[in-house]
Amino acid sequence: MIFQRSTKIRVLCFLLLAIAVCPAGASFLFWGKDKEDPLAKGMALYGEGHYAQAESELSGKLASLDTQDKKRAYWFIGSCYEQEGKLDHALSDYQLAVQIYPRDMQLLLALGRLYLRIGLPDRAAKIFSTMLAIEPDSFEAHIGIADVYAGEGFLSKAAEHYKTALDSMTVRDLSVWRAYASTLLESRHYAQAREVMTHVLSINPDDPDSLLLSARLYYEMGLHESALETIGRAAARAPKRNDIVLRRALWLISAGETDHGLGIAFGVLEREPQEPLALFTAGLALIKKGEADHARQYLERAAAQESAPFIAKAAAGLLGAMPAPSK
Amino acid sequence: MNAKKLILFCLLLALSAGAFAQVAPPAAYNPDSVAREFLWQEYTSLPVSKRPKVGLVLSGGGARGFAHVGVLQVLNDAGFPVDCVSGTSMGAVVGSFFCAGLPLSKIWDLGKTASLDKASKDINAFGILKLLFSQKLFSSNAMESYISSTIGDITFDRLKIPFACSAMDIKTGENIVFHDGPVAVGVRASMNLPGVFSPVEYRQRYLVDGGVADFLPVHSARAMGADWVLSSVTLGDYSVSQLNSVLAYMLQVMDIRGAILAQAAMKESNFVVSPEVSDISFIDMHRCNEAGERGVVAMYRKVDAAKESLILFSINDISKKYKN
Repeated sequence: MIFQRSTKIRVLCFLLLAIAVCPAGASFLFWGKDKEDPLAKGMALYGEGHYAQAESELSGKLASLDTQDKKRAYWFIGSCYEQEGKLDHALSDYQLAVQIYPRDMQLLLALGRLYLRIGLPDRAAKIFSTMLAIEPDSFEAHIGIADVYAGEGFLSKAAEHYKTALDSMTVRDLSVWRAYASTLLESRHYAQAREVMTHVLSINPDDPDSLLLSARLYYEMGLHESALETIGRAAARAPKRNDIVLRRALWLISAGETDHGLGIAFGVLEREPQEPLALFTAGLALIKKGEADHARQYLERAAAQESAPFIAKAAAGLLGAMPAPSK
Repeated sequence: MNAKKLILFCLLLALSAGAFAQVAPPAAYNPDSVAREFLWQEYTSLPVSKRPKVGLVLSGGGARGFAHVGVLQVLNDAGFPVDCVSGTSMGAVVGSFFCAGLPLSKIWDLGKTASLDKASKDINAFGILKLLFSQKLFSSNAMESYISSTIGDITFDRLKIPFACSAMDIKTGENIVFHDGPVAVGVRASMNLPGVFSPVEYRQRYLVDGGVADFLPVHSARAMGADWVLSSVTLGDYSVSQLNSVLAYMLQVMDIRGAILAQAAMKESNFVVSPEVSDISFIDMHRCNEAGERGVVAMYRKVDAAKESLILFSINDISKKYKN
């Protein structure tokens, strides 16, 4: 693969791709010294995180811009609103822009993604379908459709679109690969998921999210030793991530390494005394160790955690299944 | 390049790179979801004899009932155990296919052609016109042939998953539960629309659609040993129906009756999923797959809650693994 040759080539290719994807990049690169980008100030404000000012600056310029710049301006204005959490404003901006420029892929993409973000998957699907009608190989549109399908439970269709997107992408984006693998895992297509995860880890063997996904895959496949080894690597790279370390603790306890799992749970509780999953994990480990009274203390605390209602109910269930406390 | 241009260029690059990373970011850490995933694995790894038995109950509802296929699809994807199934009318059709081991992809395919099958052709406007002129009810033989040709001439005891379906004896009003004998006969009786098809004569009974006696056969699932019951209910919205034909009136009566029966049966279920199919009519066979897709959406939205419900129901059994 061309990207594996050297870092320099990788960077160069990425730059070229970035320019190809973003027309603004091209126009920017080829500015003459005398030509001032009318969006420069707004974009700079955006880059510095001053979204309200950027939006105001760009909105003020809209009327005087040519078509290409107008498209970019609408995109930036919508992005400013999104960054500020003003999603209804962002929606109005993108909708208006798409009405004016119905074939602009970046604006369509922004609108589609926003529809997904605000929970309107049907509308998002229509936008992504429009994109595919314009550019059948648009990987962004395929990813968008895949996300819609994945969110609605159509896992096979989602996997197909992720696959198509990945086939047409020239840049390796781990998050798309993981989304693909995750969909395969969710629909229990383990062999395919494993193949994908092997590829993902060959790109970046140290990424905690990829290691976690691989570990979950192994665990579901019943390959508990591989799962524990892999999640151990994930935990070593992200020791503060409770979703990784506490999952590992639970797996260790289930595998009979109770003290090890309990130690991890206590470690988390030292940092976060009310962590619901750590309380639950500690309670479960102590039940396994035969220390019912000690377990009860942790489970009672877990059962009182309103932030994790399922854990609270499960802890209450475990308490109910335990023998009466010793006097 | 001056510094300002460099910053802007980096910004553009970042935005361009953002275009590649379009998938939704990984969900933020949710302790409940990690606990659910772990306990679900603990539950599913229990031997069948050491965990509560799961029953799936599929309601009637004609074309709407095809939503059950979507529900089954999601349960199947999620690795949800299904130890027995009971169904009425369309729920009986779908249930029999599933319990016979027909792949879900094949059942989806059947939905695509449902409106073209002889079994459903009689219940369209033209068929009803014929019915009025001839003063004679149709035979539902075609339904029996359809079931037989799809899953073979098999008996209930040869199904891969225990299954039962309900019909009503039109002479006594009794709910008749089929759990032995030929599957095709039972399903035909369960799907035998009264007033359109002549009653199925079987074992000295005159049987019509079970939807008027047992729209949601939770009791049948319990009788098969189900400890925890998930009901899939496909009700119609009879408040907005267009009552413009004899058939429409008849179906309206069935829908109202079904809704009344379902209310009570849902309370006896441990978990209920109700796909939003109320706008699909009993006889909209051309909309079967649409109903199925809505079943997917409805079940997928609730599958985590269903897992949690079953885990909590089984917590005593799960905890035994941790007790010395």
